[in-house]
Formats: sequence, structure tokens, C-alpha cells
Amino acid sequence: MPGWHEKTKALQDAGKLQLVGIIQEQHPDRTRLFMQWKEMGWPLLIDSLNLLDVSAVPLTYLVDEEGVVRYERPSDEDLETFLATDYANEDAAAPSLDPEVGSPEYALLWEDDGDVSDAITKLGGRIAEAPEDSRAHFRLGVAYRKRYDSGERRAGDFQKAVEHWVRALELDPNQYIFRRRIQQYGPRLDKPYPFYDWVPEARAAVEARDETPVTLRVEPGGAEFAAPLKSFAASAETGTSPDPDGRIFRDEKPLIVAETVVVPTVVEPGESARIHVAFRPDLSLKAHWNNEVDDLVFWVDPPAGWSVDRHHHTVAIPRELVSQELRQVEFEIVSPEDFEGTETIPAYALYYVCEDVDGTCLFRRQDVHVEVSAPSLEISAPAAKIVPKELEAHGDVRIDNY
Amino acid sequence: MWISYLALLLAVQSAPFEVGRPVPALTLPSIEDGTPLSVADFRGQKVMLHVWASW
Repeated sequence: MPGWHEKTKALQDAGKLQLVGIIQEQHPDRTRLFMQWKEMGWPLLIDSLNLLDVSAVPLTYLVDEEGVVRYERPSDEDLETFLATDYANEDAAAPSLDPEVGSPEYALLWEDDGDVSDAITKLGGRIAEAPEDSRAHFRLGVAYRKRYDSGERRAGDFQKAVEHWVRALELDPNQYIFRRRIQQYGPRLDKPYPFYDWVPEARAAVEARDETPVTLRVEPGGAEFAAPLKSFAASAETGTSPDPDGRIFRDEKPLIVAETVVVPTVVEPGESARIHVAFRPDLSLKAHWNNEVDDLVFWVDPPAGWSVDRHHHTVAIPRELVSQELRQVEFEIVSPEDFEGTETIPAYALYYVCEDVDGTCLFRRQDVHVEVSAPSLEISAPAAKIVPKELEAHGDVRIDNY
Repeated sequence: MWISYLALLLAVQSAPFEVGRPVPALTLPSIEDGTPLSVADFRGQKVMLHVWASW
């Protein structure tokens, strides 16, 4: 909706035109921050599961007093005509929606009240009955990612989200809402633009007005800020492994739980993927990060024939002496041209962790084995090729021109 | 069979908002505080509806 918010301000203020928005975001509070920044005071509906079955954004419509759509992508002249016309009531049925829509599993849309695990079970049941229902796959992905972002998180939730989004897009390659959800977390070669790079600017602008920026439940991660790349930039670092002989004691319990996610799920020969590695203190063991010493260090050394964008990563420690926050590392790899089967990308983290508050504090190593799979030879159709950029002829533009 | 398959495809691909047809009365949570809201709740007003994203 380039410019419409600004352009229609006088009409909005005069009560002649009501703006209403709909978004399909995974994290609606980010939109709330955007609206706070741009001072968009109008109502907005959250449709994270894409129940309305929208296939691309942005879309603009003019809807008359009787609730009938009169224009799609209106021009300035269309808007003038629309405002000057008294529309008569006509008998026409609304487009039918997926009959499942409105059933209780969609309660998860309501931010705090939904039972996400129940929604996951029901959507899984739907897919068991209709394995090629792309919308159900997309919604199941949204539900898994929602649970991953909650305290109810189970191991594998984020990877399952990616798997179902990839499947949804395979089934419906023209669905840009599905495509964007994968790109949000995927490799830079597949990105159309940085997704949430506006967040720091928005916060600064809101603070400059002496307002408190909307709090985000989930901070955008590296993939969500990363700019697109036209060609893969392999690491030119000359550093060496900080523990080449593996002499640092392993975190055997482990006190820190590591989870890896590969996006996309399946990596074509010669193609890139983004690896997300999350480290969380095991709360059942009362484990804490020890912040009195040094940053978490992460090292990845891919097998022969593989490229990595960066070998050495650090995650800075917060100011508190002990903490239990999520620490994330993201990196990208390119598989060899003859890649088939599966490969393990060896990586490890070194960190300072305490067994409990006032408990023993340790320096530990954790080996992280990232399993990457090539497309299965049994599948004759090409597996998820995430972004044929040349096909992106859709009117899909980003929000810069608001 | 092909005809019904085609009909199914068309049904699946139909847009939620079509010129000349009412907006679907689907209730969704409002971003402000989660209260249920539908585009159809704005009857009596001229509405500009935006489907967009903050990315």
C-alpha cells in the first residue's frame, strides 16, 4: 500500500474513509511496532495462519458501506469515484472460505489463550487425511514455530515448522505468503530483501518521541536482518580452531541444550542453506550462563568440498553475572556439486556455565553435529527449490515506500 | 473427473476478496488487544482494506 496511509490521512481524520489492515505475520507484535513507528492508528486483523488464503501482499481494496468489494488495487480516481458513490445493496454471496476455518484449533491466533499443541495435533490429523493440503501444511508450520517461541517448546519444533512450510510451497509454488515464511529464516542467496532491518530505526524514532517502543516477544534473528546476496561469499578467515584437539571437557549432562535447524530442509547439490543453532540452559537442571568470564565461542569447520560463510562466531555475554537467555548462532553453507545422501557438518561451542546459582561454574565444550540431507533419489520431482528469483514477477514489493 | 478436479482447483485458488462480492465475515484477533474483529464489522463505513506485511 505504497503511500496510502499518508495519502488518505485527511480523509481518515474527516471520518470519510476507514482504513483496515490484515497481516499474515508469524510475529504480529513486530507489525505493532511498525504501526507505532509510522503512527498508523487504524484497526488491524491478525491472520498468522492465513485463514483468508491470501497468496501475495500487498493488496488494497475499497469496500463499500454494505461490505461489498468495489475496487482492487484502486487508482486515485477510483478512490474519488468510490467516495462519491452511494452503493445500493445487492445480493451476492461472499467467497467461501475453507470450512475448517473458524473451528476451535484456530484459537491459537489469540495470542495467549490458544492451545498450540492441540492445534498441532488437529492440523496433523488434517494432513493425515489430506497429505497434499498446502494450506494445512503452512498452518502446521506456523503452529510449530509458535510453539517453538513459547515455553511449551519441544525439541524439533522449529525444524518441523520449516519442513511443513517447504512442503506447502512445493505443493503450491505460487503462494508468496508460504515462500516469504521460508525466506524469513533461509539463506541469503534466496532472500528478496532484509525482512526486519527497520526494527532498530523504528525503535530509535519511537524513543525520540519519548514513547516506549512496543516490546517484541521474539527478537528478530540473524536471518531476519540479513541482506540478500547474489553470490555466496565463502569465509576468508585465517583463524584457527580454538580447541583443535578437543581437549576441553564436554558438557556431558548437558547443562546447555543445543538445537540445530537447517533451512531449507533439503539442500540441493551446489546450493546454500542457513543453519540456526540455539543454545538454552536446561532449566530443569537450574543451569545458568556464567557471565563473569568470556563470550560463547562457536567454531564450524565444514567437510572437504563444502563452503561456509564464517568459521568463528561469538555470542556476547549480557551484563548480569548469571543469566538463562537463549544464545543463537547462524551460519550458511554451500554443498558440493556432487552432494548426495547426508553429510554431517562438524561444529562446536565453548562456553561458561554454572550448575546452579551459587553452584559450580565450568568451562565446557559441546559438539554440535549438523545433519544436512540432499534430495532423496526416490523422489522424481525436483525438491523444494526455494526461490527461482526470475519467477518473482509478482507485484510483491516491500514496505519502504510507506 | 477432470471437470470436478478443475472445479476444485478454481475453488482453492479463488481470492478471499473479489470485486462485486461481500467480504468474508471471518473473525480474527485485533492487533490492538486481541479482541475479535471482522472486516464485515465495518458496515456503514467506506473502507480501504490493506493486506500487507511489515517485511
